[in-house]
Amino acid sequence: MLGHDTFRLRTPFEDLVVRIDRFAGPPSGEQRALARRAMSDLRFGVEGHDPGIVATAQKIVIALDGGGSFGLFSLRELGPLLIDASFETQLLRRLDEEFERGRLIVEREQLAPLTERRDLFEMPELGPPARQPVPETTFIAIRLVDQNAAPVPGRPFRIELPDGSSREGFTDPDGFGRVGGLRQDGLAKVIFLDVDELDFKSKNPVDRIIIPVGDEQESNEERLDDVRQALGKPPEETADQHFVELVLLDQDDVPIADELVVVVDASGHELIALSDEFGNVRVNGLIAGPVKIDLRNRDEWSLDEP
Amino acid sequence: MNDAADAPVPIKRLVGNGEHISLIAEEFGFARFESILEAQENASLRSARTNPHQLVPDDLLVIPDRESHAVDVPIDATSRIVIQRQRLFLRIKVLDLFGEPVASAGGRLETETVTIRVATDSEGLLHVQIPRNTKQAELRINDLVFTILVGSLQPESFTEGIRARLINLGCWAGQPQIDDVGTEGEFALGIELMQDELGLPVDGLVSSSFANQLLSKHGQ
Repeated sequence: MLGHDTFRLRTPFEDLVVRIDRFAGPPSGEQRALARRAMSDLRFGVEGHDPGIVATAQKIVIALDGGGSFGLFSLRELGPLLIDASFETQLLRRLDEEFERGRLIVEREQLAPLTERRDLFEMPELGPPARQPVPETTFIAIRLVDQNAAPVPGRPFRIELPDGSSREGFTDPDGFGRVGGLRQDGLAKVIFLDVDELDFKSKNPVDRIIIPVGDEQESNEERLDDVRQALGKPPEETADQHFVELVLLDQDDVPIADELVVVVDASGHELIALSDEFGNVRVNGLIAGPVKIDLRNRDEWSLDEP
Repeated sequence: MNDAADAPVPIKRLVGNGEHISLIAEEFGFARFESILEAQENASLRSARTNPHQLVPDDLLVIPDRESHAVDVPIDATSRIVIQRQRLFLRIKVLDLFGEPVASAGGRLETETVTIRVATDSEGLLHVQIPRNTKQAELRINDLVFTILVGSLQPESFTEGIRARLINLGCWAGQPQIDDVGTEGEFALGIELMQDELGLPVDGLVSSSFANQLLSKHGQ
C-alpha cells in the first residue's frame, strides 16, 4: 500500500497504481480501458486465490468504506484463506462498480526490469539459520554413475553401517551421496534402492560396493578419488574432470525442456543428457580436448556465438 | 543384407483428434512444418488439404529423415544453443451475442502449458502467439469464456467443418461428431439460420455457393 487511498496492484503481468477519488465524475475512455485492465488483473488474482492480490482488493474496499465493513463480511477479520466463491464474487463486483463510478482511478506505473521485480506477494526476509555444532568425525561418500560414466543424480541410497544401523539419502547433481556425523570405523555397505528403474540392465549393473569410512573435510575431488580407490581404480588427476554446460532456448528465448543432447568428448566417448525445465544441460566426466554436441531430435539449431 | 533392408523405414504418423501440423512438427523436431508436408510421400495429402493447418483425424503423414549435424562447443564453459521453431499464432475475432466486436478488451488465454495476457484490438481481433503444441485453450475476455480447440477445425468440405464454422459464427448446429437424426435436424437448422443471414435461399442444404460464402464469413 502506498498511502491511505493509494494502492499498488502487483500482478504477474504489470504494476498498476489504484487511487481512490471519492469526488470524481464518470471515468474517461482511457480510464475505462485502464480500469478494465485492472479488473482483469484483480479477477485473475482473486479467482486464483493469490494472497497478495486478494489482500490488496480487500484493503481497497475497506478504504472505500472509510475503514468499515463490506457487505456481510468484516474484511478486517478475514484472512486470504477464508475467502469463498461468494465472497470473491461480491468483492470483484464491488470493485467493478467503483471503477465504473469513477471512484477508483488507475494510473500506470513504470515497470521495473523483470529481474528487479519482486514476487507477487512480499515475503519477510529470513535471517541465516542458527548454526548448531554437529560433532561430525567421519563420513562416507559415494558416487553413482551410469555405464557412460555420467553422474546419476537424485537416486536414493542406503548405507548400512558396521553397527547394523543404516542411513539413507539421495545422490546430488554430480551423482555424489554423502552421510556424515559418523563416530565409528569399519566397513559399510552401500545399496542403491531403486537401481532397477535405471536403464542399466545387463550392460553394466551397479554392484553393491563396500567403502571404508574416510576422514572428514575432504573436497569433492578427494571424495571422488576415495570412491575410485574403493572400486579398485587409481585416482585420476586429469581424466573425467571436465564438463560442458548448455542452455537450450528457442529463438524467442523460451527454454527447451526434455531435449536430448549427445555429447562426444575428445576420446570419442558418447554421453547422452536431457535438458531440465529451464533448458539447462550439464555433462560431467569429460576428458580434456574438443567436445562436440548433437541435438539429434532437431533439424535446425546452432551454437549462439557471443 | 541388401540395400533395401538397410534403408531406414520411414516413420508414418496418423493424425489424431485435435492434432495439427505444427504440433506434429514440434513432436518430431522440425523447425518448419513444411519440412514434413513437402516430403514426396506426402504429395497426395498436400493436394487434398489445401490449408495445411486443417488436417483431419486419420490423415497419414510420412515423417522424413532429419540430417544430423554436430558442432564444437567449448569445454568447461557454458554455451547457448538456439533451436529454431516456427511460431504459431492464434487469430480470433471476438464478437458479443449481438455480433458486435468486443473491442479493446483485456483477458487471458490459458493453454495446457502457459497463461497469456491478451487484449483485443479496436475491431475485436485477438492475435497472440501460442506454444506450438497447444491443443486446447480457454479464452477469457471480460465475462466471456470460450474453449478453443486449436487445430480441430476441419476443411469446409467435411460436415464437421461446416458445423464448426456455423457454431463459431453463433448458429447452433448440433453437437459435433454425433450423427443421430436429432443432431442432423439441428445441423439443418443451423444451415437455414446462416442461409437467412447470408441472404441465400433457405433450404437447409449445403451447396458449394453456401460453403464458399460461409468460408468467406468465417475466415479460413
